[in-house]
Amino acid sequence: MIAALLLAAALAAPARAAAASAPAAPAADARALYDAGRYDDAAAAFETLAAAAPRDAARQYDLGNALFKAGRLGRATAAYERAFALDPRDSDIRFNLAFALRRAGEDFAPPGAPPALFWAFTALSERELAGLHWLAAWAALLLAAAGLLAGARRRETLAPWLAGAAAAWLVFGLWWAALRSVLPPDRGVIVAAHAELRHGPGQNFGVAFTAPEGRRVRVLGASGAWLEVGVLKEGARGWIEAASVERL
Amino acid sequence: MRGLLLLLAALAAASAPAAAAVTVSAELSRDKVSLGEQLTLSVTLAGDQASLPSPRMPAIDAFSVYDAGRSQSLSFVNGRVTSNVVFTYALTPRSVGKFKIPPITADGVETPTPPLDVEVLPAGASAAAPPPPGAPGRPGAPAPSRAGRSSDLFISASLDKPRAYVNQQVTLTIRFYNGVQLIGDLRYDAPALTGFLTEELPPVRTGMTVIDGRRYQYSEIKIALFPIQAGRLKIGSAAIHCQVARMDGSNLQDFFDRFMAMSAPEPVTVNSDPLTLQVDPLPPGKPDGFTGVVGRLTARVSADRTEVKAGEAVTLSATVSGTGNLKSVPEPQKPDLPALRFFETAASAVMDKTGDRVGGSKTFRTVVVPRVSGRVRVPPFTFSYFDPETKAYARAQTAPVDLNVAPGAPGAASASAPPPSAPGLTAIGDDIRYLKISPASAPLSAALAAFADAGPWHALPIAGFLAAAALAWRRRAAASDPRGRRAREALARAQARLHEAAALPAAGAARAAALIDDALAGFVADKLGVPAAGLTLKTALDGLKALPKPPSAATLARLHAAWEEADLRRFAPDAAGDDAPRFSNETSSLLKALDEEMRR
Repeated sequence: MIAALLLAAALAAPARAAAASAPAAPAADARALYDAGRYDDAAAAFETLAAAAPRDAARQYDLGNALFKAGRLGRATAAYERAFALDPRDSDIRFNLAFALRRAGEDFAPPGAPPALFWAFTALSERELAGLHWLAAWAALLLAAAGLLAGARRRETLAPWLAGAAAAWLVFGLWWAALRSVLPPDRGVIVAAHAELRHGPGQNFGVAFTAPEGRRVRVLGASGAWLEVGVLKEGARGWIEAASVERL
Repeated sequence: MRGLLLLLAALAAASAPAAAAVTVSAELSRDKVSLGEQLTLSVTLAGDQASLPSPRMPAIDAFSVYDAGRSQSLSFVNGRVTSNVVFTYALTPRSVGKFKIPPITADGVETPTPPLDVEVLPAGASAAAPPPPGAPGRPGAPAPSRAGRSSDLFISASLDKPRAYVNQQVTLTIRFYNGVQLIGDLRYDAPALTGFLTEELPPVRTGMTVIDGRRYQYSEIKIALFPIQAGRLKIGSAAIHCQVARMDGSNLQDFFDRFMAMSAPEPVTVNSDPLTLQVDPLPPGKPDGFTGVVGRLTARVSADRTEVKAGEAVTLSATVSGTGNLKSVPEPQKPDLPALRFFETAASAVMDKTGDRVGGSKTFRTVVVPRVSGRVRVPPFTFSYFDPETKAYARAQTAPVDLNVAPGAPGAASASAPPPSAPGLTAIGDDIRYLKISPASAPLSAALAAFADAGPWHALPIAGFLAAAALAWRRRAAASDPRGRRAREALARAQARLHEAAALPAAGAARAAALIDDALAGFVADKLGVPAAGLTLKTALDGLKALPKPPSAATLARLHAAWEEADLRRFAPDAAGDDAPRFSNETSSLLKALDEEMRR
């Protein structure tokens, strides 16, 4: 059953990827614009490509490059974040995301985290971890069901497989939860230069602090056209106009 | 003045080197200085020879050292030359702390100077020396004054301004008025100028003037003074030592007495009045890189070529020119650019004293080697100064220099640039990585992601597990109650026999009758939990009536009739006929009714 589902998913995924990367000519045109230094035009072209293939990490990465070169650090960081979420093991995506974050005064890895450990922790994307978690869950539940119905001799054969599946279920589940706590899904990136974060949702509230473009924030709440966000690095929180944040 | 010229000529003739000892001494203008200020190191070399060596200055790590000029005084008495040269250096501190000026020596010097202690205070701390003690002196004034032995000879000293900023030029004018004939040599003692950097403003100007109806010949010396500390600074007296003919002839009796009187010179010394100068500190807000230059500067830059290959050298000449003590203009800070390698800078200064204003130009030549090809921009060089006219800090900035750098030939870089200390990569620029040429395909990753998105399908294993658990529970329950299980499965077993009987052809009527009879007896035996073999109709009916939920009398009557017919069909098949399917169906409905009534 699991094998059949995985096989179906594996067959369907490349087909989707092929369909997403089908417009090769527009991609070449966008690259030509990028190479010519027309970064704004290249960003618009890559944005169209990325919208057609939202699960294609390379398109998000290219879009991030064009936006970065065009001087839009915040939107570039958001594109790199999306690319990273899709393909966290790609070294180019990691490099450019870290580069953009440094420009915004933020480190890619949490302070004090050993680089190798952080790399390993983020080597699997959240969706990959979710897939592995569910895969292990399926295996554990079906093996348990088989064990319930099997005879004593068959049950002994199934026991180590069941233990392995259950352990994998636990490990991937905890890993998935930890990754979501470190890189919460309700994140955003400040896309306005020197954004002002206020004590409340409106211009009548005083400015609590300013944040540079490109800073990652966690969206804590919303009120009208304002978002309450927490700056991931410093932990400070404040209200910012929703248009100044690109949600991931 | 003629005496001065004679003296210089005599000195020139007597300038042969001598083996006599030379002494050296050093003195700091003060022993504490703040960052951003300057102090003066005066190194005095003295000896009985006309040409004295220059001091060998040690490396003074904590200070930037600028040559601030030299002054020399000579005397030629009875054919013996004594010389005294003061070398002045401006020291600008680079860091805070207590430091020692190492011993200073020179060629021919036996005993170097002792180390000098100096303390550098943080910027803004008050380290200015107190005003010089003693007589306040006369503020700089242009009017000549008379001093000395008589009105025949006198010296005036004046300043062009009574007040100045630190490092701003003040011009000291000293005039020697002479109304009589001088005999022999004369000696000039320059005024003590502690707290100033000095720059002579040649030439010595001479002329005739009339003061109080008397005709004087005058000689004028101008000196540019640059105060190096704030406060009231004293300018000492200048002195002239000379000999004049004693012309008082009232006691002379004859020609010989008068002749001897004219040939008997009388030594005379005349002094100028001391002066004071009010020196104001520079206002706060000093820009970065400011080292105390006061004046007005302009800057320009040139390159010996702008078309160059990577690894080849280009000479950049940054020239700062204008007024002020340009000797203290520091080397411009080299930008830290990975695309360019800067080598040591050589400085050369050209002094200009036109109009008695010290100025000129200072040129810094730096060899630059581009490391990469392409268009490389050398950023502007900036010089900060204080403009006393506007009373504000200003910057003189060069224009940027654009170099068109062609790729260097293999090995060309090493021809002009020193080899790196260790082989390896040289980081030139920092930028993001390039686009994705060919998007990577990760089918397993995509499959996992798609599996994660399966949504409601993830309930399937849970449902399967629950179903398996329920089935296992039922199995376990059945295993623990075999009689109950037999009773629950009685109908199913009987139905199976009846279906088999109904399906038999007419030729198998005996077999069908036996199956129906077994179905009836087996059903009742399963319900009662007794063996089917040997079960009689009477025992079956009694057992059913004794159950907690006995079937109705009508149903029992139907069972009675069916049982007897089954026996009849089994043991007298000829009388039974060939309607086994019908009888099988009737028996099936009878057993269902019995089962339902027993379950209620």
